[in-house]
Amino acid sequence: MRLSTRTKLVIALLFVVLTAWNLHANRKQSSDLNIADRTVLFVTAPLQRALRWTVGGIGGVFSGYVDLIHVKRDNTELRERLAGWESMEAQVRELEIENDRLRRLANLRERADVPSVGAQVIGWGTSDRFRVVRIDRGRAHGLAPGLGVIDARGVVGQVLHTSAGAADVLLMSDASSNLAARVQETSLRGLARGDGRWGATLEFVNRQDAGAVREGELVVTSGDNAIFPAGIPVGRVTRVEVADTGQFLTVGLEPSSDLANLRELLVLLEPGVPFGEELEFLPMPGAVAGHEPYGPPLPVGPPPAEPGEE
Amino acid sequence: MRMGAAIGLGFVLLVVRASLLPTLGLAAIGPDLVLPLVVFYGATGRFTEGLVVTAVLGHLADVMSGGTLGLHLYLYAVAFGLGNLSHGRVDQAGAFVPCLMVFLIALLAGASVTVLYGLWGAPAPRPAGGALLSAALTGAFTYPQLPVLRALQRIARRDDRLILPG
Repeated sequence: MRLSTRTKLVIALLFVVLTAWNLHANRKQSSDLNIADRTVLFVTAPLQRALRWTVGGIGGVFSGYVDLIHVKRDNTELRERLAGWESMEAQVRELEIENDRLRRLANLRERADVPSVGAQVIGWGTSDRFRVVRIDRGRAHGLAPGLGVIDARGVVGQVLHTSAGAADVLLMSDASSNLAARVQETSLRGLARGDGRWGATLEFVNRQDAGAVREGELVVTSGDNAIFPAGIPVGRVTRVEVADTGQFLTVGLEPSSDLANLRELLVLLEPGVPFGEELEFLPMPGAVAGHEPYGPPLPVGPPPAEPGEE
Repeated sequence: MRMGAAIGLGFVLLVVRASLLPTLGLAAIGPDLVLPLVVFYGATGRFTEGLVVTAVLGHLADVMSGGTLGLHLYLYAVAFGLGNLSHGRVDQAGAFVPCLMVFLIALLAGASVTVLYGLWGAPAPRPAGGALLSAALTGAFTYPQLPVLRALQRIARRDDRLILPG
């Protein structure tokens, strides 16, 4: 059956309207996937793991090949061997760094003394609209939607969807991510919300509290929303802006964790259970020992009067 | 067979997008590798078959994105519709016009999401600044896909000749 151009146009329009309605219906839900969708995750997770492994291997072979060409150009066997040793040394150094990272995470897990599962990042979500990573642990390991995820530097995000052997983690920088937080020094509370890029903002901080939050201060979880225990680093304050109007401050945050380069993560299996002892997290990337992170304090005082206000 | 091949190709592209692009540092800015396939189907494929391919790939992309279910289904529906409206202009010789068309359609589809979220009073899932770069990358990544997309078209035309002689 051949459709006329007008019929096609009407059907295409209906299709768009139906999908928009479907999007509207799904927008506010954060329910877990159905069995068919979980099967898709189940099938793709091993593929992603294999691809990641293959790409790593090809990358190694390629860089080795490039190294070899350079050595041949020099045309000395000694240099070739040296390059080989250097390459091996670099690999050993990489392994050392990875080992160190894993050891710190294992140490963190041991000292936290709460039920948790270690996981590795095996891929990213297929859309640049969301900040989601896929990990190699799922329902079979006790994961469920809503569980908190951290790494050795602090908060990473929350489990979003699960299948038997894999799960999606919504990063704290995603625009739909919210978590209860407080400024460590002053206990000023707010809501850390992702900005859709790689950062976050601390929201619902009253403008009267402008003096209680300064650039460079550490923001930690408050433990209020029963997902994360209190005291886990969320990020550092990068800016505090007092707008001319409005009730709240604009407080920018740089996440503690290096969200663009996540590898090993820890999923907290019991929401809100406090850690056994106060933990020491790794400093944020780029932090310099002895560096005074605090900027100049903002002026403290009542907000400017609204126009026409007596 | 042809529909299965298109869905299979889309699935492979989604897995590649999720696994390989992050190693190139492109995880956060796109591109959408499946969108060119949907646009080509809209422009040159069989209409009903294209609707099914679009719906299946849209849902698969939603599941694999880890984000709001329905967003990619909507995006691809818009892209399919716009591809259909292009009356085959996507199917031009050379690489520039097809890549440009995919870029424009990706931009329009992305803008329609922003408008829709604005109408609903919700923050768009991606800051507006990223849309242009993502659409540009989607257009650029159409180029390496062109041989495969054109091969699919050739198969489609051959099938049509077999089914509808004369």
